[in-house]
Amino acid sequence: MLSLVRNLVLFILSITAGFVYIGNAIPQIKTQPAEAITVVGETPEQTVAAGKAIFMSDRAQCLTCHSLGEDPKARCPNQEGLGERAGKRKPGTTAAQYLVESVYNPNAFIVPGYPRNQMKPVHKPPIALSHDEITAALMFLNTLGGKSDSEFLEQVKEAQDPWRKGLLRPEESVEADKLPILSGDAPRGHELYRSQGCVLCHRIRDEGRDVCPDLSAIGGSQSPDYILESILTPSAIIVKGYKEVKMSLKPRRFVRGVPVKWVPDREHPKSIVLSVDAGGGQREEQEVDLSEATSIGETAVVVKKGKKVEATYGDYVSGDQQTGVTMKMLENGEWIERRFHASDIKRVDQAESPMPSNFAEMMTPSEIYDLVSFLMAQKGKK
Amino acid sequence: MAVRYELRHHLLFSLAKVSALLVLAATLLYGLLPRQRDDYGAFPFLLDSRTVVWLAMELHLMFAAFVLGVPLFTLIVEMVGAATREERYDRLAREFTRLLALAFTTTAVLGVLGLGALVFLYPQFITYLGSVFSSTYLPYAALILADAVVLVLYAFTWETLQGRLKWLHISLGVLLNLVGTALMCIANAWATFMMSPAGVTEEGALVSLSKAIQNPFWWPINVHRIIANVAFGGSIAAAYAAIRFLSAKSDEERAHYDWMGYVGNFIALWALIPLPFAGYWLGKEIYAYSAQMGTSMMGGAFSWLFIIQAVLIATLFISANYYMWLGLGRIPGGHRYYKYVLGMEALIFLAMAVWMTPHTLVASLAEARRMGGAHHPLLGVFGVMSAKNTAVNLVILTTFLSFVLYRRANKERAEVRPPGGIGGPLFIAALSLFPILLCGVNGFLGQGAKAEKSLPELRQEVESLRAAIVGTSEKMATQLDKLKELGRKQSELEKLAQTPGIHHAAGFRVIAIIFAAFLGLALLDMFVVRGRIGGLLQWVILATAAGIVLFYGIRGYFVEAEVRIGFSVYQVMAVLFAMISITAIDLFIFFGAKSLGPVEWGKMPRRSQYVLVLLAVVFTLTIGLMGIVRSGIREAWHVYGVMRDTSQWAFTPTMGYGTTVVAAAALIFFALVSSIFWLGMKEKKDG
Repeated sequence: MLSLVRNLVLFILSITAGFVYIGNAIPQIKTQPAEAITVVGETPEQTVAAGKAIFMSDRAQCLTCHSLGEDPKARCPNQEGLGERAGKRKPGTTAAQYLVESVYNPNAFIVPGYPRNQMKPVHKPPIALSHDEITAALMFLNTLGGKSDSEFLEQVKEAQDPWRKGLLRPEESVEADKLPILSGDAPRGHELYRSQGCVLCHRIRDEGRDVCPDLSAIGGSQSPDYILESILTPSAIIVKGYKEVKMSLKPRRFVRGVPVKWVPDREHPKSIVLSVDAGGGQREEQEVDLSEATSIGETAVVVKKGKKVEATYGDYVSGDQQTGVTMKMLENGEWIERRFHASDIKRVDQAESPMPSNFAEMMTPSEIYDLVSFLMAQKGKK
Repeated sequence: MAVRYELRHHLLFSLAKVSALLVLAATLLYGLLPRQRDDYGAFPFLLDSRTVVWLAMELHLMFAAFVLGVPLFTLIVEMVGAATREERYDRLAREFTRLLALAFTTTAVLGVLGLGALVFLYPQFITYLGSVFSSTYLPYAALILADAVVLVLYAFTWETLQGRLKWLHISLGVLLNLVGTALMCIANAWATFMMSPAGVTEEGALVSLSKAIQNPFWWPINVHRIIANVAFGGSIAAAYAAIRFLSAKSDEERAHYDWMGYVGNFIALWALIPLPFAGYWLGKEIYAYSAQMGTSMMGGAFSWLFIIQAVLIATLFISANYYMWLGLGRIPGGHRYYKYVLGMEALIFLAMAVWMTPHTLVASLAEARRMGGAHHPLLGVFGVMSAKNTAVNLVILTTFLSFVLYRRANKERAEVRPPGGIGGPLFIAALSLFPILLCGVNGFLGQGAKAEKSLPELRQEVESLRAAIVGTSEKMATQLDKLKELGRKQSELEKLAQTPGIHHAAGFRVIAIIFAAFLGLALLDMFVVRGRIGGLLQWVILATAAGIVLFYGIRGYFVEAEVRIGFSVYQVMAVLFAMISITAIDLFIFFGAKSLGPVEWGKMPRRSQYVLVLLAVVFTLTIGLMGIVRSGIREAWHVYGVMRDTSQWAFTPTMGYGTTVVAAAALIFFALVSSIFWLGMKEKKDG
């Protein structure tokens, strides 16, 4: 009986010893709880350095799913080159806005080819990074293909502002991008691109001009729906820097065109070079002396002055027709903000695109989708 | 009179014990806990706070599995005894029930010890848990009292409630298990809330107790633990029998305990078979709750834990099969099936090697360079779910084949099957309607099948509309309405194409038809050709099931993840159908078979009994190991995402440390269980 007890004890001990041996033979990983990383210093370089440490930390868990460099098995997008892509990912969104939205509200935009609901908002538990940590991490991410300077830091902080104040909440889900309803023929679209005069303003690699946005990589950064909307209603979303500028000149003259150059610079301009419609689908450049201008800008506020109405041009800053509008106006060579009271405003004409808005009357649906298909095929570098 | 006195004595004694422990628990929670001032306490001797709580709770959990698993085991055995009218089953069930009272007390004592450790060492956490779950404490205490009462009634009315009153005793057994399961479910709600909190605000304030209880992991853990408890109960019973076999002094005693070990192992193994699937369900829920949690679990530091788990599960399957193959030796005629053993053994080893292949391992840079990436160029192929599902299904089929061969070991089929004996096979065959109906409903009537049917029609409509738009020279402005309609229909088409199950309707149909055809052939064999095609049909069904498992395992590499996930259902259904239908045919064709001699119980090599002990130890270690990952994936959170663990013990320990604690808990558990068995045996001898 004693020998049986001894044998059994030895047997059970040897099994558990084997178990403990295997447990100790494998790599021993002790995971410390992630600690908050203090974002030291105010300079962009210091913030980027802190951001890198945060991005790489167990606390942020970024590398659990993302990769730095191509990894076909990674569950979420490769972050290498993000700084270059960020500003082009989502129409009408700057790089800073896009990056901020991606971490605070990850389901708002899903990079095509990746699944939804993979990422939790990083300012919420269980990751729960502080807003300053997020600022630093985004500063670091933007250095991957982009430049994180003090201007970008300000842009990030500005985009974070509503999240810091708790004014925004993450969305549960957003409908995925849809495929175009007509397939389209890209070579035919290329012919139409030339015949419809797109080349007069847009550039695709060596073909075309730089008056309007370069479309060489449009298919890599935009959805078919966005391109379709841009063709049919060009003023719906206008890429920054390509809004048409309107100008009233003394005495009672009016000029509109796409700014090509401010002379000597945008901050203190003396004159402006505009690309204006020369008729017959042609455009020409025209330099206008700004001392002749009574007002200049992308947005027109039509105000009542007694029985008369008068349009004043400037760059829209904030507000609406109901509450009043703040505009940035050029006066005596300086940009100043001026507020228009709601009671004085008759209407506000938002910035317009110089692109014709009558393609729907000029082209058949097949032709439009051929053009979309051609543009979606443009994924190359500029 | 004596029985009534004994019953009353045990009832009072049990109630007094449990009441005292409940009063102690209430004093800890409502008397001492509010007086704790610090967030964390410190344990004064040797061990750190976390290890103390870990050990106490691990032991409580192991004993809880024992006192929940053994009644499930005894109930099954008692019901088999009542159905077959074999008294030995009844005796076996009774023998184990007598051991339960002491085990029940030990579980309760360990529970109070664990609670005490939490109150003194983690007061802030247990206070928070109380703020969410305090209203469950009273029902929990009431259920403990009820469990104690029913257990005494069940154990001490065994002789009284016999014969025509047997159903009443079985009802008590059912009630005992229901109360025990309810207790487990309440405790599971607390544990799973810590992993996947629900029903609370971001700050942790309770909004809905019902949601906090029914949090995302509650049901998967409940189901997983119920099945695991049956397997654990069976394995402990088998280990007990093995020790009694080894210490037996007579052939008669040896024969009895050999048979008892066989029954325990049989039940443990049948419960082991569905466990991997319950585990996959839990894993799926973890990924659905938090992809990050899932990725940390399978792709991070815990990926090594799953290699150890695979080693343990492989040990379980290989040992259980080995025990059955050894068992062929005690059955006259069993040697005829030795020829299959080598093949089955090789298949199980190969399949388990696949199951042990990691998907992603934490590799050093040098190792990753040598492999050419994070995954091994050759072995990486086996680390994916397609390969692992295929491997585990093939192991289950092989284990089932071992059962079939064991069952027919001493039988030689009659040349002409005698009439009669149709009830049992027909009943089992009827069970095969479950996989047939499940596949049939999904293939012919389900949401996916309906979507699959209406998809071509809608696609045609979309194409016609598209052709109408493209086929004219009208400008876009005049066709806007048609384009809107096309957009609407196309969205509808895309939505329809994403209907759950749409990719699987065709597969389900084919499998349902194959299963139905096999069932038809089985019935043809039973009613028309009287067993003449049964033997061949069994092999065809087995080969078809293996074929389905392999086909979808390989096809899984060539389809998208969302389609691949559904393939595991085909594989499980194929295995399930094969097990049911082959058993039905086997019962039919071997009816009236010539016996080559009775099973010579007791004529088993002594090493076979060590295999049973090994199974029990490995089951216990697996419980502890899976506890590491269940708790570990919360990382440094008491309640994931709600309450941080800010103690100095918040880090995730190494696997070396984790396995050492689990091994220590297992050894203490076996020491205590052995004491209970010894006291039980002593009581029986004294009695």
